[in-house]
Amino acid sequence: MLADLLERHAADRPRQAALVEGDSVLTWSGLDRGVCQLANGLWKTGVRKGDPVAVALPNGFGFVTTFLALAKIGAVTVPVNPEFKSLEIRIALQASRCEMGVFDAGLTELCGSLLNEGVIRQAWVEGKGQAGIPSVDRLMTGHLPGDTLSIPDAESPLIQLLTSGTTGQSKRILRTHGQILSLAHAYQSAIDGTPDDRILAVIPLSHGHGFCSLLLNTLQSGATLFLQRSFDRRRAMETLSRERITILSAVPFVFSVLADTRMASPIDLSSLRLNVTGGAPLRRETWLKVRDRLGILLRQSYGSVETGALTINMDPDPEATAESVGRPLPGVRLDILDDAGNSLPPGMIGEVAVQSPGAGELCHADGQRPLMTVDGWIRVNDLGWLDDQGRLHIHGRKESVINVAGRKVQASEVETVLRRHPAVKQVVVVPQRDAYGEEAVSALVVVGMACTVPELVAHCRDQIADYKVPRFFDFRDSLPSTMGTASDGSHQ
Amino acid sequence: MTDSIEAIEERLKRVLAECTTLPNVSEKSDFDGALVGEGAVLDSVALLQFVLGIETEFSILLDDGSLTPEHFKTLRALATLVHGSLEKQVQ
Repeated sequence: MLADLLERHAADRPRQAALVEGDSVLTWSGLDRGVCQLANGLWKTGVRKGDPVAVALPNGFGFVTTFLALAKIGAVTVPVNPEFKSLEIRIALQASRCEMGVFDAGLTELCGSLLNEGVIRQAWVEGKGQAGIPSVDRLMTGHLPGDTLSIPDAESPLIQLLTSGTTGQSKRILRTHGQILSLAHAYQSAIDGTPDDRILAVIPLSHGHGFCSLLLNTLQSGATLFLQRSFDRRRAMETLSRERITILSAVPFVFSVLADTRMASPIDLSSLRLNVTGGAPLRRETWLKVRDRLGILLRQSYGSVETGALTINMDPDPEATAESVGRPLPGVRLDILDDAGNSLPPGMIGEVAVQSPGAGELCHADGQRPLMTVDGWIRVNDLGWLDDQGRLHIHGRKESVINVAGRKVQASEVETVLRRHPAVKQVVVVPQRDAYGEEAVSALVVVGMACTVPELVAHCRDQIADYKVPRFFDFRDSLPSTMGTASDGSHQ
Repeated sequence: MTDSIEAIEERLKRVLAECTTLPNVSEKSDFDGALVGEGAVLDSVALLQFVLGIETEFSILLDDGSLTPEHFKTLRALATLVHGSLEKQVQ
């Protein structure tokens, strides 16, 4: 299954670099060996096929090795954003029913609390391990005794994704080895990925866009993946030039920042053959700025948490088609439907509906259900239209989600947190463009007693990741009756 | 001649006000809270925008890797950093 890809590359190109992080290089055979050792260690400690295991790690060898080791023994990776605060991590662990997890070293203290409280029964941290929490590295011993394992098959769950939320409304999406392999194959074939590709990852591998275009694409094609733990714009520019990167895939904000970054010496970007955005809409201003300042032509891709990547614009003329997210990946079907579920002709805006072999299933308390509705289509909650060449254009979202540089923030989650503050009587959270043109979180609040913005910011920061905390606050005497939500949560 | 630290601080406030409308930053002239880290006012996206804005405003290059939370503890600390960069350019 997924780990078979790794074994194939380890056999075909053992000495080729698979992962590069700073000055450290991990070859395909080295990665295969590390994955086998970690799989062995995890198996010995009792991790079994089907077990959900939280993986709260930033980009790095650790994330890739852990994901593949869990895949090898049939356990299920549950990516948890390491930027999350204590409350968010607790809710993610409970929602995904994780009793075990591999955590960033910065979360060691929290791991101790989670273990003491019985939220989880086993935790490992990256690095040396401390405060009684063992290092994940110490698990990496011995060889995996293949005959003792239940090898996962195409139907085995591989990854469980949560659509965020401390509101109790988060959806759990389960995707199998078969679904992920089909997605990896479709993506690689659409972009013609090869082992010669050199791919730079500056966005998290655990997020939808990065997961497919960076991690799966590397695993499928046998390319080399250069990893940045967190986005550093000048280091990224230097890496693009020095390492002759061929594919840069990121959210539009990253490209925008790179275009605005002045360098002390000229940077050669001529090796880049594919520059893909995803995770957020690409604005025309950003496309033009990147073309004019960096000399590269951006292409859009499109997908959702539920389905993974769905389309990519591989048109021969990226300039003429810049506003389209492209045609469906191989095996994906697209349609635009009206409210009654009828197909709309090209040029007409309607709800985007998809069928994809890579789409996962929704987890409910009583089992899993397909995402598709009775008519066989999955609604991804976006509005769009098809042009006469079959290219998809996105027109907007149907749900109230704020896209902060590719990271989705549910307005209701931020509202819930703000309502917990004793001074807040009413609140509504909306997207607002900042001076840079990016979408930011903005809160309109009605308070019942004296309260300052720093107090509200501090209150939010205790409970939700920094990027979800409103950057704009607007104190109002009242909110229009169609907008307001009372502090008890009821809509008014 | 390089601006005084006080003058740089005023210019930083204007740049910062474009990244956020938090009243404690944009309206109060005596703002002295932390810009990043615990109890701070900038998330990672706003911070990057702020750094880009500083580079444009002062025509300097700031190395992301060498910027620490200490530099963003107060506007005064940041103004001192910018002042140092400008002084280096003059030399």
